[in-house]
Amino acid sequence: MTQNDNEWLNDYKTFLSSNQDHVPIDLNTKLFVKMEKLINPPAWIVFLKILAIHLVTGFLSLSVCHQFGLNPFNTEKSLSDWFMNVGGHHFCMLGCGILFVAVSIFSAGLFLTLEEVKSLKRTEFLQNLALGLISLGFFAAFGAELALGFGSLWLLGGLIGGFFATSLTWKIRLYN
Amino acid sequence: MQITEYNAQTDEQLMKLYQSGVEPAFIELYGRHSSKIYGFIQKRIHNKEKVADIYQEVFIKIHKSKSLYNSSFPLLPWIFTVTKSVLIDELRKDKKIIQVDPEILNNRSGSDESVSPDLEIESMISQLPNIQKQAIELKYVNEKTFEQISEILNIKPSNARQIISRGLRRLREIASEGDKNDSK
Repeated sequence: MTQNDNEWLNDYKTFLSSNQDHVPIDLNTKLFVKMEKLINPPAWIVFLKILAIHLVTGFLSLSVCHQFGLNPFNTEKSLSDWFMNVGGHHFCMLGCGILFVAVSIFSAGLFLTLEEVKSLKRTEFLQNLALGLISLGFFAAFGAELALGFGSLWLLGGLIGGFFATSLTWKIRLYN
Repeated sequence: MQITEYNAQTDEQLMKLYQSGVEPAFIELYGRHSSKIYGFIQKRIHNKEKVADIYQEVFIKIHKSKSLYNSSFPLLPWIFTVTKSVLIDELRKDKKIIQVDPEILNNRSGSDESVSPDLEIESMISQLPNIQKQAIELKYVNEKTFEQISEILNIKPSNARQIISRGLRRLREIASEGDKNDSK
């Protein structure tokens, strides 16, 4: 055994025998407040993080799938055209909604902690609905013409995409 | 799972649950081991505010690095390693304001004026064996008496004095070796 091993062992023995000291109550309380925020992060903070990521990924995704005709990158090809050819306008709305929200939730999962993903999963319906409605608001603000029926289909797609992306992200995080 | 059922789990099982975000598992682990962590830090640092800061830092580090724990190994040595590493990091931060024997600084007369003496001392101390490093930190950073150092390091007071004296001697040697290298 080297000198370092001996030192480690001595310190470890001291550590094991140090359990007579009681942690002051105020320190316990202070620590629990901090840990509570880490273990159960508030859903609105998680939402703000997802929204920030969504603003970037959502905008970038417009380069591959134009939403409601919005094409800020002036790209020629769009997945929305393919959706339209395959299943018509209704399928296109649903597919675009799924893609737009799912990409953002999946990207957010790469940056969020396990506890934040858990919080997202707990409140996924509200989070995805809010994300979808805010996105539709942005589209309208940038000149997209939204009809109630198509807008609702897009929102339904967003909820479906968000649900699958959240479940997939949770499973990946849990088993990694 | 009821909270009472967590009592029956081993540390390693609880940690696995904690890794997957189960809060009661953390609470049970906290109840079992918080006093060890607190007591260990308290034995080394006598400033109460600093103890509280380091204690909280340990739990935050345990939380952030919990995914790195492999549940096929015992948990307590892992917690101890995290505790010790946080403690050492904190002591290293403080080392920047250390003021050691002025003679050591005088020996570095030929050194680069632009380099802060504190940083030079810090790098010299890092070259000392662990026990000397700890003893010197306790003496000059935490301003402990030889009696207190001997209690913390679990050695005799005469040994503490000797370890510090050897450490200072070694620092002088390192300082003069550095001088020789500078003049080459």
